[in-house]
Amino acid sequence: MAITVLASGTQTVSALDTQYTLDNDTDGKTIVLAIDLANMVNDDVLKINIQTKILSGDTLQDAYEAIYAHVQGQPNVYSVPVPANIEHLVRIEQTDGGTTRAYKWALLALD
Amino acid sequence: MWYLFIEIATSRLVSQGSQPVVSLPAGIKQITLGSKPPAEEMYDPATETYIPRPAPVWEDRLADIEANADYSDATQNLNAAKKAKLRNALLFLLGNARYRRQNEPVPVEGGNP
Amino acid sequence: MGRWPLYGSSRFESLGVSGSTDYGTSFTPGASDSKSGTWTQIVAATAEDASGILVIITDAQNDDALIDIAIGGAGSEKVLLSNLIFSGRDFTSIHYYFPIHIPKGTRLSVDGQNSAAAPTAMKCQIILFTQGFNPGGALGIVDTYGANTGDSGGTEIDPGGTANTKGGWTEVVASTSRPIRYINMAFGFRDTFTQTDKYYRVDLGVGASTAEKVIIGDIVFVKSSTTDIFLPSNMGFPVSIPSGSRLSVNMQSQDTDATDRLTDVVLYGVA
Repeated sequence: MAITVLASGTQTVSALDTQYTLDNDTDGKTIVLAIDLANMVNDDVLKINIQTKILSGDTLQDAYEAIYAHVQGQPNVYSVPVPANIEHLVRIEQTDGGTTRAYKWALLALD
Repeated sequence: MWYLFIEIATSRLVSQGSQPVVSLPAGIKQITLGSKPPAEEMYDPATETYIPRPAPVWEDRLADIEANADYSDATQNLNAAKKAKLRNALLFLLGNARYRRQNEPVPVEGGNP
Repeated sequence: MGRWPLYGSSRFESLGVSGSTDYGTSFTPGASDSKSGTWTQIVAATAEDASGILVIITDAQNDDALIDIAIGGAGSEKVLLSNLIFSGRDFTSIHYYFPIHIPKGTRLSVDGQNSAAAPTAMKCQIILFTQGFNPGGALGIVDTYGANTGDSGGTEIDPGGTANTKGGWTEVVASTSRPIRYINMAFGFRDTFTQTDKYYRVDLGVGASTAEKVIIGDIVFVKSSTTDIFLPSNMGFPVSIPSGSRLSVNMQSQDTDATDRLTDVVLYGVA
């Protein structure tokens, strides 16, 4: 099976401590978030959050969260595969550092 | 504000922190202080308050030596001038180890036998 | 299922030490509990991406100090590790390890503050660890909780006046700013240089007052009359603590002396 791109784009962070939704959908796929952190500089702190549901009647809850700080030596970052069979919500939030950072991203489906 | 949480039966300090507790567990009471107590104070279960921490008591190892029976016996026939010189030599040797806490051993520790 | 060796090909990079008689880069911390404001370079540019950092501080005088490690070019330093507590007696070496990512080409520097009015130079060595493909242990950022820049120490913990009985939970932080996946608990002895040989046990707890839950409990450490320092000076553990958590410490000691029994604690949460 081929890897497909469910959604992609460039998210510009214009304010700190503000959540930006990259994608919220019910594709029912195993998703991987790929995000380019090349624009991060020292003092920047970025939080990446993926929420899912276990059962169809649930509310979304945190499944994975990763925090990246300062310049990144390996800027192309991939999340772990998340089997989001019901719904997924993928967000980023910059909590420290400068603003107007642009983050290129793609939400990949492995199945 | 600072909050103390005290076991009612024993006056033991169970917890302390910056946030009050709305529903206290059974057997615990909350005391509110205006600010976190300084390091110079300590909790006293008898009064359920913070009281001044007692100042450390220092003992003088020079006095320990002078009270030693062998030392007394060896120096009892020395004149005042020689006793003063011996005292100065001991102070030189003791250096920063001259003063000890009450529960610290009299012999200076450290070094390899 | 086959195994994928995520931790293969480890290497380390030793920084700040050169030559057989060198034991670290000398730097002079600020006096009387104030940072010097002068960053001393440890390395101009790291050779490879790293997934862990070991900071080694040595000193030859009796004092308390708080040490910062920064990244970034001269004049653009940003603090990476803040207020690493150092409680020293005569000749002390303290080691801190954090599993965080540091990219290749990073300039690392050091600064600090010291409780002494005229501190002498301290030394700093840094060792970076680089793991193989997809180093699973590398985290992003270290937050410091409980440091006290007013006396170059930490949060005072009193094990109480009854020997071998926990003295009660003392809050170190009311609400953590980020989730914590690795925590380092460090100790200082508040400039008390007349210690006796005594055992301690320490609990780290999470939760509101009167509802603290022990997440790491009854860890034994000692203080020595010979060295006057706590051994070990700090210890690190993998944990899973959500952001917004209250962290507190409970402690017991064999020592009942009202001054000598006291310790300082600083927590370093890695997210």
